[in-house]
Amino acid sequence: MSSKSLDISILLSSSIHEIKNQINSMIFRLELLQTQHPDSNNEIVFLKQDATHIGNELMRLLALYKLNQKELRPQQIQHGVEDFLEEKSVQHNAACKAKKIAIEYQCDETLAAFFDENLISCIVDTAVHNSLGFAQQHIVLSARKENDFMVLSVEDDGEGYPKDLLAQQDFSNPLESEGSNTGLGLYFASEIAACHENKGISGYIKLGSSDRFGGANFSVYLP
Amino acid sequence: MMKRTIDYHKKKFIIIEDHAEFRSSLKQMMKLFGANNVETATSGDQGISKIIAGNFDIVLCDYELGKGKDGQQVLEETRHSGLLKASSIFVLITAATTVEMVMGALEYEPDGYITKPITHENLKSRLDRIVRDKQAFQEIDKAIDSRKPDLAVEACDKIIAVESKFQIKAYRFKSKLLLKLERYQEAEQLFNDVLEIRYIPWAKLGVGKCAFYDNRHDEAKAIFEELAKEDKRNVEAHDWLAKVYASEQKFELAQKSLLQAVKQSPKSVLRQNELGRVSAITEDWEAGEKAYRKAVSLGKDSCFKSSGNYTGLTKALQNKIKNFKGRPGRDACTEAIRTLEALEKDYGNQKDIALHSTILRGETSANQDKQKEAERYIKKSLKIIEEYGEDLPNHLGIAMAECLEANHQDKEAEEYRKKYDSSLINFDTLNAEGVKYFKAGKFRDAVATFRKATQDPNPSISAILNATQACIKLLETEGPNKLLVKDCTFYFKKLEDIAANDSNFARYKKLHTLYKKYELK
Repeated sequence: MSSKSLDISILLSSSIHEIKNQINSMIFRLELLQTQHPDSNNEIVFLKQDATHIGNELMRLLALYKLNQKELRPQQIQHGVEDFLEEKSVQHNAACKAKKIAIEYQCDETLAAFFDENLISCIVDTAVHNSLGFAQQHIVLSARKENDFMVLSVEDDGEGYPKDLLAQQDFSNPLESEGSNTGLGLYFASEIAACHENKGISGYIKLGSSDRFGGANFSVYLP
Repeated sequence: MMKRTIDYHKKKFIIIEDHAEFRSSLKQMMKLFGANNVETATSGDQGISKIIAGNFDIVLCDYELGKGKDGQQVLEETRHSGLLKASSIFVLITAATTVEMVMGALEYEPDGYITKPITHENLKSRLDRIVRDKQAFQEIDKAIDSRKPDLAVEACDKIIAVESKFQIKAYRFKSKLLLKLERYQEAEQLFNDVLEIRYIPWAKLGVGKCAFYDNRHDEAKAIFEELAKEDKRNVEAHDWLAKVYASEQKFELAQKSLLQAVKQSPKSVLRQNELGRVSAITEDWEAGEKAYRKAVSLGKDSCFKSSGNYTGLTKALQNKIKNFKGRPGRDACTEAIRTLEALEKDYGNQKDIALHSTILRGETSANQDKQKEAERYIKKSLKIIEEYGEDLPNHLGIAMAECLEANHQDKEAEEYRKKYDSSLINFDTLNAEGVKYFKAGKFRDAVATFRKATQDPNPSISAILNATQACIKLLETEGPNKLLVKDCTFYFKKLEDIAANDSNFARYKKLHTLYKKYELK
């Protein structure tokens, strides 16, 4: 018998890699199925969306673990924000279309910002996924500069966030929030935003209501 | 602004992917947007040989390629040896969970990443983006492809001048060019400019590199140490720390840093080689053996393959051969012989290496107490050494001394010890010293110092060029001198294989033209 205790972090991360690979190949198969049967109903689209979401949750799990171990270092690289939003909207387009929701993006084409594409992508995907559950007809991704920050927002025309959540803006206790795992998602988002740092300023997230739709407005502030 | 559509049907692709199903599906998917000219390769090695033959516009390469080379290594080889034009696009396909392993402070970066899962929506939009971004850099790439690094620097400046998403990338590009052109002061200014905009680890690392080149070692060390502490996965910080320590002859510390670097990133041939070299100096044979063994196996089919790893491994094994009786000793012996056989097979036609191998065979026999056999090899070696006359490279003289010592021929060994200097192990320092002499106008001293510096079994191109330049300068100032011309001829022979897209190529050409004048006389 080995006297060494198992290194849980290696165990965890390699299982997550493994599952994530499986999911990736599953999505890939669905993708092929879709191209072979272009007239199929929306089931494949939904399956794909679900699988993608599971993949995202896994990514989140791994990132949260690393965060806890203080091993998470975002790769803050300069990106064209319009490119990023375009890609996100293309990615979610099929799922939105299947639900008869229009997804758009608005952004100055010259806007550039520093962020970890994978991590922020994960946050935006989760936000869009949530919006998909509430939106009536519209989801808008947008970005703008605001003082020292670049602000990424996901807005929808649903019923918006519950009042108490809006009033609190406290995401530090993921396990205390009731019901679904929104709490965990918000905790993750706020932690990821916070590890984006520039010259002593950290990022954060903000929940609000959408000016244009009156629905939910989820914003990430990146320094 | 309307974005121009990209004519994918005009582009030549290669997909490097070990997973059969994924490979063919990816190809199918690409057909959907007009990419018809798509070749495939099932491994990194196959990919590289196809790239050499192919002239591709776009390479799509999976990071994880099962056994053998990974995608990052394929990228390094193709870019390092100029197998792919600068204007060609290299895309790395990664799983989101491995991306951070790949990205960051790496010398060679792909033109873009595509993260799995790949769907036809994101494949097309991501490729579009990568191709368009590459277009923004086409002036730079063209200048590099036509071997005009100075023009490439100017092209970078144009991008830097305008605020855009390309600004930082252009800075980074420019910094790499400046370092290659040895324009360290400008490079340092650039790194500081970037740090003004934002704290970015590579810019800070750059300041450290420039401090090192400017002989501000303490400052350099402090920077590298801070970076390594900040993120232990910053491999380059460890590498550079090792480099500074080695140049200060603090080999134990250098080894420690390299061990850290290897822990984070074990697949680099050059790093394993350096670890082997440093471990041999500190006589940590166990570590040396491990590092050289790794370097030999990683170097197979690689452009970084080098004879020094084979001789290094054999040398490191001697301790076991001599001191470990029974199984471990015998195994070490078998491995040493096998390694030398491989060395002779691949490099046997090179005189220096053939001699080195014979000497090491002698030492191996001597350490097994097979005196007769050892004497045979020693005799053979001495005969070859005679042919060299006074021109025996330093490292071979020392190898001979060690072999004779192993065979208890202390007196003969002593002769070699007197003549050849085992302190000539730090070639970087010698090179830097030569530069100092040259700058001070002491060309004679510079020539002598560079001559020692190029005794390095694997001298850098710029070190050889320095040596050549010093010789030519001395020819110019003191008139014709057969010995100096002979030196130059020797150096140019070493430079024969210089790649046309090497950043030193322009300098090489210039010196070669100057040399022609003297050669004819």
